[in-house]
Amino acid sequence: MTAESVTAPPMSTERRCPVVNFDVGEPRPVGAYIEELGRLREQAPIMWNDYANGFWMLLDQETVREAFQTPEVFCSDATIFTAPEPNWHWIPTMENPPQHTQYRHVLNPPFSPRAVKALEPEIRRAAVETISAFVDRGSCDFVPDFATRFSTRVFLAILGLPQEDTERFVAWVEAIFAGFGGGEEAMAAMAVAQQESHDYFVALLESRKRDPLGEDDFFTALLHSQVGDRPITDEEFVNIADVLLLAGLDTVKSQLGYMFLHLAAHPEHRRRVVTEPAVIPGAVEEYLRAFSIVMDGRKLAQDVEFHGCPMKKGDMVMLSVPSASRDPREFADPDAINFDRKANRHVAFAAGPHRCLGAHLARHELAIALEEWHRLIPDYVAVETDALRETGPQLGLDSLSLRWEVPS
Amino acid sequence: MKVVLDRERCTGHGRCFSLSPDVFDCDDVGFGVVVVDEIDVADGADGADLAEQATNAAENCPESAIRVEA
Repeated sequence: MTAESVTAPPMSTERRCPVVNFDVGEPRPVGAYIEELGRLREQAPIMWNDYANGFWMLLDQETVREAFQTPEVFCSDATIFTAPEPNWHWIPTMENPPQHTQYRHVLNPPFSPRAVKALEPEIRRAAVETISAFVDRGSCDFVPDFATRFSTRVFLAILGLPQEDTERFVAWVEAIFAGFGGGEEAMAAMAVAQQESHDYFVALLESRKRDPLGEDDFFTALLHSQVGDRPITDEEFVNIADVLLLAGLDTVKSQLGYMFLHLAAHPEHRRRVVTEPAVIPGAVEEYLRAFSIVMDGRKLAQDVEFHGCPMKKGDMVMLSVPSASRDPREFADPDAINFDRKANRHVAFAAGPHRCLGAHLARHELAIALEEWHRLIPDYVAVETDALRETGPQLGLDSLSLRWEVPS
Repeated sequence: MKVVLDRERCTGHGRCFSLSPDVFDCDDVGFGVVVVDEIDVADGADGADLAEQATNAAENCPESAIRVEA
């Protein structure tokens, strides 16, 4: 229990809401973030967080959803809420409508439900190949051994990149995400990984220019795309590739970690996944809700009085999806993991124009991971779980030791 | 029962056509399309099923883009 959660936080007359000092990057025991953010949510839907540069926190479903749906006020000029003046630009993440719409027009088709459905055999293959590396060992560290490798293989498959590059991408992803919130050494390794992966995409661009593949090859189609009424530039091409790497891998890895931590400890839920495959889509949706991993950031594009709070142009805002997804005003019995939940309009994939591009792919990956894993390893336990830590601002486990019996 | 999908609000989450495939379909880029916009709720088991699908989709749209009207 931390000091800020035992007593009600003080009210600020200036900000017309409670004020806290909550470090959203530090490692905490697994589950602590959702618990603490939920406690804050029940005190007030909006708070001012004095930590770092200071930012508003939107904690409940109503305010989070509304902010996502109002990009002209809550804009994406800055999306890391502790970095109000970023010296980087991410496409399409940091674009605002109408330019944002032009980029999504290019990117939506290759990530559409139909395109993702066609990828299903490769996603299954990626799951089975990844599991086969350790299935006979009776143990694994789920996060690096399955979650990272499986999501990386799928990433390469949808982008038409060689599976032989799996280990290179795994190393880059691990270095990049260890760098966020890490010390000096971790940040130096992150910079190297970002440069190397960037250089890979620069070389890829040249390769596609020299030898374009068919239009169903992601990067060939991207090379030939129009942004509005003019061709995409080389800078935009590489920028988008860099962003897909950042946005598409760590998220799936993190979501898988929470799902399997829960399933390892809940034999009844696991039994349903094994014996009732029809429950899997509902299970995926419920896990996305109950273990929402993203704390998103927006910047105020104008002064606004938002649910009674005087927000100023330039203020940063943290959209606490993890606590919004457990809001009892929206979700009945919100802390229960209910695969049969009927009304589940969570915003784990955000809402409004920045609705996650990879949502359909992510859902398929998560469903297929559940199917293929439980076909091969229906019974397992998690060990050494007391030592498990999660870190913000994008929640995730770095490690999850699983054990199962291997037929002799 | 009338089923209305507001294309301005739709951002392509895909909950409607995933949960209620007899009432909604998706277009090429993943935005929702209403396939059955008038449901006769008194039309036996079929009518009741379509009505439930439509209501379910409305309750699961994160954008609140779907309306069912009696």
